[in-house]
Amino acid sequence: MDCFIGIDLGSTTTKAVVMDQNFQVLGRGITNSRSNYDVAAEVAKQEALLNTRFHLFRQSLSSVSALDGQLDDFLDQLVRDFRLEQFLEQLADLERTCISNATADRFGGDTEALHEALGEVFRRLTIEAPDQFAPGAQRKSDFFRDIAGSRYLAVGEAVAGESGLSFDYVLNVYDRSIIDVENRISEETLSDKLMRALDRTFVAFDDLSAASHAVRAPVRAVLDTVLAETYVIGTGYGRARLPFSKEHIRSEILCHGLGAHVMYPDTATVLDIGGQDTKAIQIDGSGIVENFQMNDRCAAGCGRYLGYIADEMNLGLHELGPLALRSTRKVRINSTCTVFAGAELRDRLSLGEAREDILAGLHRAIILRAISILSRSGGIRDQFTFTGGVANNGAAVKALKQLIKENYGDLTINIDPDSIYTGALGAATFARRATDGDGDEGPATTTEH
Amino acid sequence: MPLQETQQETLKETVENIVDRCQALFDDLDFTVVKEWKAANPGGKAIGFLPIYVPREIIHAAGMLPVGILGGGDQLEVIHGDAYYQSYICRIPRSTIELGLTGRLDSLDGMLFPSICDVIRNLSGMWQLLFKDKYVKYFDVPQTYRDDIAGTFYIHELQTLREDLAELAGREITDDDLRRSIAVYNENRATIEELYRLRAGLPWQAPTSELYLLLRAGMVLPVEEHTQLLRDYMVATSVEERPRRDNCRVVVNGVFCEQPPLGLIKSLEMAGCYVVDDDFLLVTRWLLDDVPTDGDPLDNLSKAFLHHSAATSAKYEPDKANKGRFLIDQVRNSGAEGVIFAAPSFCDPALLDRPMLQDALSRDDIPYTAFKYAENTGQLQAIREQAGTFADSIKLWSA
Repeated sequence: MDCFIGIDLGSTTTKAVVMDQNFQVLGRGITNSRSNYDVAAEVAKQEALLNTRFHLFRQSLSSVSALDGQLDDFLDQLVRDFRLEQFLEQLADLERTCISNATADRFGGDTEALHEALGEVFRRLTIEAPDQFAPGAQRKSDFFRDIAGSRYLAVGEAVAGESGLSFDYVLNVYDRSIIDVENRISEETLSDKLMRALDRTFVAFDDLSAASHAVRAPVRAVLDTVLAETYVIGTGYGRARLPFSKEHIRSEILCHGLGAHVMYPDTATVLDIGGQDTKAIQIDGSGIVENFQMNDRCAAGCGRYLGYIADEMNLGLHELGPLALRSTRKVRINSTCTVFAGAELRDRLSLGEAREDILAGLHRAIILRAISILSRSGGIRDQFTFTGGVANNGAAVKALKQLIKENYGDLTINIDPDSIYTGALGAATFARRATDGDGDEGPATTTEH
Repeated sequence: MPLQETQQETLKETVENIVDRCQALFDDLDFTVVKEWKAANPGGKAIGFLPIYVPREIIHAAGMLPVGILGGGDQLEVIHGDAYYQSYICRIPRSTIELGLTGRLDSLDGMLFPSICDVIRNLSGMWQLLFKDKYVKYFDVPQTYRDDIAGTFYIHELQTLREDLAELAGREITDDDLRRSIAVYNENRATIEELYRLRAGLPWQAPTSELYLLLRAGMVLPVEEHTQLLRDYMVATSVEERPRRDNCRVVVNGVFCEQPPLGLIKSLEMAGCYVVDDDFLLVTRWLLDDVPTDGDPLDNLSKAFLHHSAATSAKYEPDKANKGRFLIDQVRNSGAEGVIFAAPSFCDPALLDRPMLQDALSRDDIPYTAFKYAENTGQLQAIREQAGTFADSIKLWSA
């Protein structure tokens, strides 16, 4: 089937959206951008295509009577099992890479002990892996580097302690290996991994064993469906790094404007707060950009500001918002400089201010920057759509809503849970439109999966 | 009035009461006190002005209230103000625009924008576009000091202002009106100088954070009331025994336009520096001597400006040899041991002057340190550290 793909290569994460001939979104994919944009773009695209397959599974399995009433649970389990298979595959790769990096010329007489320790670390990581993907398991992030990294540190320290080996050695081989591993694209076919995951899912749903064939056949059929990359458009901070011709590149602003319009057709003003920049965009009734402003100084007031604060406080990025929402007292943070805000944060902590109050102040500070940029772009008009990773942060949203109400009155504020994909959605829409034959979009580049 | 009676009357006013009142005036970004003045003086007009100097005598002579506008400080959130300016300039114009756009300056019937720098000059243009129903004037001041050239020019500026305000007031401003107002402001300046001498002598008895709030009160109160407030304060603090600290003595330079946050001023004292002279709110100390109250009042105001005004960074110094002389005199006369250069980020007048002033201090072996701030600087730890180190080094190594 024809697929139209938009890829938004951001500084923090890379997103992809797959769309069909009828402008319907089939799948979305996201990955961390690493320091390797080519791989990030490829992984995000594969993730979106995978998500498309799940979308198609749902369609074809909805008619399987054995799954009546439990289709959602079944598919959720299948996703978790697939993620586990993916994780185990990368974990095995990480083990091989670590062993190959643990060479005698670096570790001398400790090499053998290090190999043994690594074997033990990975044995334990493999055993505990299913727990990471159990229903309801809490993870700071879904990216391999984050999940494997945090557990490797904990288990590695324990094993090093037990074996009397320096933990620095264990850490050293990991640091040497992780970048290689996360930048390698899986060579195994999707089908093989998915069928293994399906086996696991049937273990969890043992009452379905009789219906095994009725379930497997449509899954197989979906896996055999060719997803043709009929047209791909890239956008985002790193778009110049995409291996595409210029016809296949669109600016972020255009893609965000159009993406917001596709999500909410009555959108007039868009605010996108991404990792490196903040964009205020005014669009017309067709999603075409009329005016825009971006942050002009530095990353102050961008998503990275929150990332930096999270690092400073030793928290996950996703933990910041919920913590800030617990604030009961207003603390004013005036530094717009990301680095100085870190200093101001420590200053406030040393003065005895509560963490949640300081965090709430920091969220308000970043939103104040955005409000200024919005004002420069022409203000906030009805309807207003907030996109980008920061739109997932409840404390930022709260501060934004409050400031809009104070300064612009009651407006319709749209925030889509998938707003992080807005740029990719706009790009996919451009890709789909490109094949309508207006002649100036360049040749289509079809690759088949 | 016999002194004893004055003391007894004003003893009802403690330092704490007075400072609290000034703090409330300082915190009130809605300028309630101006509205109250207008309510109590039906038909009375209020004229705002920006740093660094306008002849408030003329506003006063028109029966109007001069109101100093010094930006939004560190409590005002700038929502729209950024939209009117490029990024790489100071903050005072943005927060001033914000004050205007949010209606906080509605009680003002006019605004004067003195020539201090391009940013403030452009702000006058912005004001003309945004607030068409208000009287707006870019108030130019001379940059050379010859009576026959600069004086002629400046008297013309003064006369234009006088006529504009007379029209706004609906009555003539007579020479006698001006002479009376000149006398009132002479008195206010003399009282402020008395307060400065008190602080230079006994800085723990008149902490700079309090002196600063007193000066700020003078930006919104009628001048007669302000002069009385200053006197009350000096009486009240003279009967209180206040803790003395082992601080060094410094002159603060460069703070004449966008104001430092109050926390910064307090931080200097906490870090071990008694400020014994400064260039805060120059409008109150621009003219150095009494302006004569006889003769032609505009000619007198002009001569005072040309020949008896503070040679700070806000004033062009044509003779290079004299550059820094005024600052060095401030240091010597106040018994200061060093200079802290504190200037708003992007402040051309302060920052372009700084290297020349530093050279002059170096030649006279006067130690100095320097930093920048914004009116909403929230991170004061680095400044405390710097001022503290400066204070320590003076105590340890200065002869």
